[in-house]
Amino acid sequence: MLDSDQQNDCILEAASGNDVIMIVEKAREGNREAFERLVGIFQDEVFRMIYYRTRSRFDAEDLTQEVCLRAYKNIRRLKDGDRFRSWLFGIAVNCVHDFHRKRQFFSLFDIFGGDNTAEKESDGPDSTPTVRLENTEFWQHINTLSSRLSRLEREVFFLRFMDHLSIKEISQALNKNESTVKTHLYRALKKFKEDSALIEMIQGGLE
Amino acid sequence: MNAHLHDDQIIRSLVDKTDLPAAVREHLASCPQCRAARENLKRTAVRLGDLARMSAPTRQKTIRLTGRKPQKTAWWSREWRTLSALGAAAGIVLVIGVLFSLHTIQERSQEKLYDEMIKDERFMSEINVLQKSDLPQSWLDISGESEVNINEEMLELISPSS
Repeated sequence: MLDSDQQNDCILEAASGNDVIMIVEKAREGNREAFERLVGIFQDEVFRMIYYRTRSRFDAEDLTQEVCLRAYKNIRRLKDGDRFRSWLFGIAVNCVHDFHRKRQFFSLFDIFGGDNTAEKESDGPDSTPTVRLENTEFWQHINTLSSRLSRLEREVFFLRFMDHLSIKEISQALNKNESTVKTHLYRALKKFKEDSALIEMIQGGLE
Repeated sequence: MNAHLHDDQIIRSLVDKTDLPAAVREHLASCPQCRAARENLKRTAVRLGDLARMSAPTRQKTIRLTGRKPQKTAWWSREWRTLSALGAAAGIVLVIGVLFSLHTIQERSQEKLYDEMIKDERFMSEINVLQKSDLPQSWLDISGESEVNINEEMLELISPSS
């Protein structure tokens, strides 16, 4: 199993290497193929990042599309090619935020209603009932932890340990300074460590 | 430093090891017990990420980049947020200006009204004085009317009641 630093290294190797910077430069000049290559590199990461925050495959797919389109339209604004990953995650964070805001607004008129059948089915036809049950239990624990975290603590914690962004990348994506990110990450980790039910579940899987 | 790291320091070391004081870093490097505590927390956090990844479904929809190539946009198009903010600010200033001038005009007309009322009052008091005595005091002195003291005895003398 890779630890977080190793995973980060792998992702950085794929996403922030010189090749990626060159592709970003081409994409900034309006090269569509170059941008499509970037989409190919980052789309799964962005999709998962959005799924962790929406818990719906359909919404995650639509929002990934939205993130890629926004990035495509605004790629000229990106100053440094090596900031592409954090920039893209910044767009994704904003898209998810907009999505939740709209959802909250429409829920006032009961447009979405209380039916989450589509979301439950969105886990995919290949998952067995046992896997689905485990997933449900896992996300219930994550929900409990999330409810104890502030919005920024939750965002920083998710970006660091679920999306594997470095402190520097998180500070760029959220447009906060590094010490703010560290403070919120520290608080979130403290609450995570105190969540004995979640820790037990995770460590049960480790044994 | 001989004492073991407490929980807060273990968490801080996971956030960023370089932020710890040198003595704490040295202890962490040399103490297997503290290193194990740090590794345990780190492994748990990494496992959390793994579980999240495993529980996420696979993406099935292909990303399509519709629309035209990103092109250089006009400055006013790029700065539409700034422009609309400036426009809104100008609108607010205009509305405040109009309201303020309306208020000033209203205040001035009220002052004018009060002035006119005071002038009217003075004029009316002058008329009242004239009604009581239509001749100036000097004329009354000459004619001796100011000296005349008409009382009941005088009236009785001029026109006896019986």
